[in-house]
Amino acid sequence: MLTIANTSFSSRLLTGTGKFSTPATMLDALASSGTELVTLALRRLDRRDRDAIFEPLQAAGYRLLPNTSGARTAEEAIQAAQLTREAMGTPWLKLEIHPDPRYLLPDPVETLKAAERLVQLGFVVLPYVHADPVLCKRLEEAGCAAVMPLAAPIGSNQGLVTAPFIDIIIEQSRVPVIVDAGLGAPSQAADAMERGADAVLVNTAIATATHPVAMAAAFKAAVEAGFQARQAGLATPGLRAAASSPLTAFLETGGDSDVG
Amino acid sequence: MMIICNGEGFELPANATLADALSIYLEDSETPASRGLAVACNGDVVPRSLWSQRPLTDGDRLDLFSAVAGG
Repeated sequence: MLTIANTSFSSRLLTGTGKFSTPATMLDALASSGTELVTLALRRLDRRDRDAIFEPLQAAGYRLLPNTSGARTAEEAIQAAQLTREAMGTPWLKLEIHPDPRYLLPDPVETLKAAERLVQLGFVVLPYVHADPVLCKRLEEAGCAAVMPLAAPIGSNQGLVTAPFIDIIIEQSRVPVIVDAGLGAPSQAADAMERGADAVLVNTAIATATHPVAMAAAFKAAVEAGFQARQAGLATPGLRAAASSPLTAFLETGGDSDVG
Repeated sequence: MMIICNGEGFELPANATLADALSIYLEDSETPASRGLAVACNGDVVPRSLWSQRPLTDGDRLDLFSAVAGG
């Protein structure tokens, strides 16, 4: 079981709710993914928008993880957090502060500052950060419930480009490590899990697939396979061949074969 | 009285509360809770439990936010 802030989850796949073509497709894909924890955002109310998604998500029993996207400073994130806690009735928070719209890379200084304050205010803080092992330790010390280092820029589908640093974060972390952002294919999610990530968060790769419901199922299977492989203990890579079959030649007379 | 709601001015009966303002502004049968709504009055977040008790005064500025899809 994945445990974050004393709450247990059977699924190690967190999903976002953005970029789906319709709310119905989103709900079907979430069901297919087996996810139990889903992210949402907060925006200024648009009275004409009739695509209310909050109630259906709540009715379906998902635990909600509102984000602070749109915040560019610690101060804005803290204001956004207070609004999301009120709007969605949960102290859980995906803290994200990315001032630069081109790469959407998280601001480490503002994120740490906001995390320290939000923990004091009673929030369950899951910060979205660059794959920076030092920063992740600082956030853990500040009382964050998990860390969410990025695989690659949000929505880029580049895969686990930060792999060597994710490995260090996983080795050092005493809170769950959730690899977030940039995972474009189920194989990449499996890779993150095989490396020892506690969970992954996927949105774009599912939402923008030709068949989102089927892709959600593929990610579910990949996350489970990657986790099981990690638990099973992966074989060590080596340069030389190591025969899997007995090296006794039976087709030739006399002598051992080189064939494995 | 006149208040400002998400930048638009709108007219409310005297003695209206924040809860009254929301039901008039939203103009529909949906409850604010169904949208995942949060409200700030003059910059301060007002807890849902206080909406029906919070009196408004002429010129108050309401900011309304709601849950939307996101990653």
